Amino acid sequence: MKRLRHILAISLLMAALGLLSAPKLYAQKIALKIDAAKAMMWMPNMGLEFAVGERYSFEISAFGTYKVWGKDWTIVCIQPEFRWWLSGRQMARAYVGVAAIGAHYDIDFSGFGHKGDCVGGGLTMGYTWFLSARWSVEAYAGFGAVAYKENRFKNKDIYEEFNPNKKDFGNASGYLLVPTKIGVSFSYILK
Amino acid sequence: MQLYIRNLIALFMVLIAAIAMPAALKAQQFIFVTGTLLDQETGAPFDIVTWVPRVYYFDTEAEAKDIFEQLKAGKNPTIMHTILINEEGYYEIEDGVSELGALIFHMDGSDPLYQKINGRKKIDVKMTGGKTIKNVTTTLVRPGKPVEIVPIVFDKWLRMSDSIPIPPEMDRSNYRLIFQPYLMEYKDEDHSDTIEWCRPLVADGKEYHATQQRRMGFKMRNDKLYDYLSNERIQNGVKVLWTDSVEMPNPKDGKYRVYGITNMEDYNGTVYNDSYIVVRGLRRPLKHLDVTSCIQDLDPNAKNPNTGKYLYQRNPRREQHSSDNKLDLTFLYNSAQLDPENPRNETELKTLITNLVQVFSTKGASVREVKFVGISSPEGSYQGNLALSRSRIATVKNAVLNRLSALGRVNFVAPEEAGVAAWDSVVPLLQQNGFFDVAQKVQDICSSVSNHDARSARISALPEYETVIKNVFPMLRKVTCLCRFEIFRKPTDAEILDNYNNNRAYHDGLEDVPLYEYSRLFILLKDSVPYYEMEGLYKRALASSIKLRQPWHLPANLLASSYLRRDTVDLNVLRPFIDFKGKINQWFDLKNMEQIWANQMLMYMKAYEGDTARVMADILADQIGESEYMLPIAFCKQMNFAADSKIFTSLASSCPQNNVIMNLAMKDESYDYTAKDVWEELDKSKAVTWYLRAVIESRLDPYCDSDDGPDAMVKCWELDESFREDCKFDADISSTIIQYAEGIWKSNQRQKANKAADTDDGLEDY
Repeated sequence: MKRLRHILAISLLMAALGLLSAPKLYAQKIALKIDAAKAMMWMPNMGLEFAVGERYSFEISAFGTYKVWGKDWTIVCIQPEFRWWLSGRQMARAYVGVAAIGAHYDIDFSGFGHKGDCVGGGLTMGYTWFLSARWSVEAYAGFGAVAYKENRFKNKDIYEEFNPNKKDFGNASGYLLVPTKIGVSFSYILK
Repeated sequence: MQLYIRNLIALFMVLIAAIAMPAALKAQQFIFVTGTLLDQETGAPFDIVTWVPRVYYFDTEAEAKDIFEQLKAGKNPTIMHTILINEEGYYEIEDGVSELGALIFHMDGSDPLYQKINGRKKIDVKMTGGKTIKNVTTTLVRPGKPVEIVPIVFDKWLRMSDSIPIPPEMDRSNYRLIFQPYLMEYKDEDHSDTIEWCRPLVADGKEYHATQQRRMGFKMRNDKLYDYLSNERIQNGVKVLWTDSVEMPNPKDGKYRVYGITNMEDYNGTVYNDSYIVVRGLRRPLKHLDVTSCIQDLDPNAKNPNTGKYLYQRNPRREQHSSDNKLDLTFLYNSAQLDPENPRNETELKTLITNLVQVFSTKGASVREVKFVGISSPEGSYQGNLALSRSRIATVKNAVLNRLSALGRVNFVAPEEAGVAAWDSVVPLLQQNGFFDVAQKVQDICSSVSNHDARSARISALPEYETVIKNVFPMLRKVTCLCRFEIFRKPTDAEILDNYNNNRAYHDGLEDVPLYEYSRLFILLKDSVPYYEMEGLYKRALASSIKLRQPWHLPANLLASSYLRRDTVDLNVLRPFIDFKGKINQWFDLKNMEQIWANQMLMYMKAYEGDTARVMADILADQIGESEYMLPIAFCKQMNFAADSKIFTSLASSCPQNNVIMNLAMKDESYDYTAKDVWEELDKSKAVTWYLRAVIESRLDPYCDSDDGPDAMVKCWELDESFREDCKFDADISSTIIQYAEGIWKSNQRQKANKAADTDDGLEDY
């Protein structure tokens, strides 16, 4: 959780720096984004994208889930991303980017409980289709490496019995190469 | 053996073929083929720089088909026979081609077009420009270019309306099209200058427009090109419309062309940029319309039928005068008494009395002095003659004064002056009569003797005294009545003309000339002095009247009429007499006189201020009626003449030149033929006549099947070479005619130069 807070702080700092360094446009574009795929899976999510240059933008998004689909899962994830728009204009057509990911999770998977944090980063790419002056739809995907540290225990075990003082955290750690982002978002440019 | 026979048969067949083939070819006819290649969509010729249209010709279809297939496949085969198509879309195969052959029409970046000749001598085809998308591998080869237009000019505005088609390769949602036209003025083909940037056209693709809105904070006004943004979105098949009106500095004679820069850009920058010609030449259909019959003249001699007074002349100013009345009286010998037997004495006195009475009875006259002067002849003694002279003066004076006294006119001073003529004055009189020797004798006596009486004695002793010298005495005797008075009377026409011809200051306007005398000079000098001299008079008269704060219509209108006849423009001449807010009338002492109004309308039209002219024409027609001033109204409303048969008829019937021009302006083939018939009535010694003939031939025979067009053009240039450069910018003359005419002209010039060189070398006779 602490690491998650660190990631959030760093993301906000990056966003602030990006905004301050952005060239003056007639209006600082800010778009609100909702990932339709996640939304359909009852995973509340939201993102904000800021135009920070003629062909650069910065996005920060977050999603979470709590006991959805009958599963006792808890996930909170923040994903800052820096995009470079190949078309020459932000929020239009293709882009590539670098994204970071930070998440806290408590999930049951393959008979084990996994409770921990992960951080990582990777490359992303996507394409935006404009629907109107304010509306767009974008499809994106990203791949990267994620490092994790978690408490891993068998589902039927109760972890606290093994660690009543909660001193030692994480009996499992490592890194994985995973898709870091995937989805289809609808974007509305606020200003 | 068998091999030998087979070889022999093969050789025999080859020989047969070798003999038969030429014969077969000879059976074909080689014909001269011409035609046109035009754009399928617009019907206009293709731009030869962009498309490089050409035609390949083949004597056999087989060869043609082979090349055709290679061209379709995108290959570049070697082709022997190629003809480039000119800017009019015209081609001709001068070398001749087999009537059984074929043609291939081809342009850069387009699919070829195959045509069998089949004995045809004229093959016209139409093609579409641009490749289909499937065949294009490069991103952008050729953007849509604007259609070349030919604006018609009636006033100082160059009004243009054009469309830019969007071909498939420009159908990109994220593109922005910017079309920037500019107006160029030419001194000649080689010297030009950009004088104005016209209104640009900006058209966006859908996506570009949407993202641009975002960039501009959803306020498109923040886009610097917002004012020029079209509502059309660029996509295949759409024609983006562009219109603009540009004011020409010299609408009458200026040579102008309009070019346009087409720029396509996406989010990253320009993807294509090129320049095209939009307007190659202007059409001024009514440039040579003869306005003479429309001019409204004011007759200086016109009188008011009711009062009999001159309508437009100014009243005479009265002046000071003096009169010198010489009396031819005879007296009795050595006496102061008038000879009663000479009836002339009485007549002379009566004449003098009459003149004096006229002076006295003239209103405003003021007599200052009436002086009697008498001179007697020199014979005899000086004192005796003097006394006689005095008494004779007194006689005349008393006779005159008594008669004037009877009329009650004696309130003036009447001094006398008597004298005796000197003997010296006899000498020139004798010389005048041819008596030089006698004159010399008298001269010698006068030189040697100073006393009058002594001279008298010696001269009277001369043998010629009685026969020659005495005969000149009557010329020396005189009695004169000098009357100094102030009388104000108008000068006569003779006095005015005399003053104008002999008084330099009066002639050149260096001294004030009364306005009445100007009115007489307008009539007296008309047709006898050059036009520029008359115009000088009109200008000075007008300036004088304005200086007196009495602006005068007559010289203003005369000057304006002279200008209009010479095709010269000056709007300021009649401007003081026009009041747009007032009513038009026929009274000369008020503003807005009808004739002045009509002439000013024509002046505006000649100045290419068509808008003002048409407004004035409407007002005149509305207030006075069209029938009164049909011709000037018609001329000023020339943009509507096609729709109004009355206007067309009135202008066409004014003179043959106008008839030709009006028929040509209808832009209809039947009217063109009518123009050609009427042309025969024109004066063939004028350059404009041949210019009109070239225009007619441009309509009826633009590709010069006959030489009439080029010949007419050359004749026009020979009469007035200024037409030669103007024609290159004149859309009324086809470029083919100009091309041929240039060739003929240059050839003629070379012949003249060679002939002149031969003459200089003395080789002319050889």
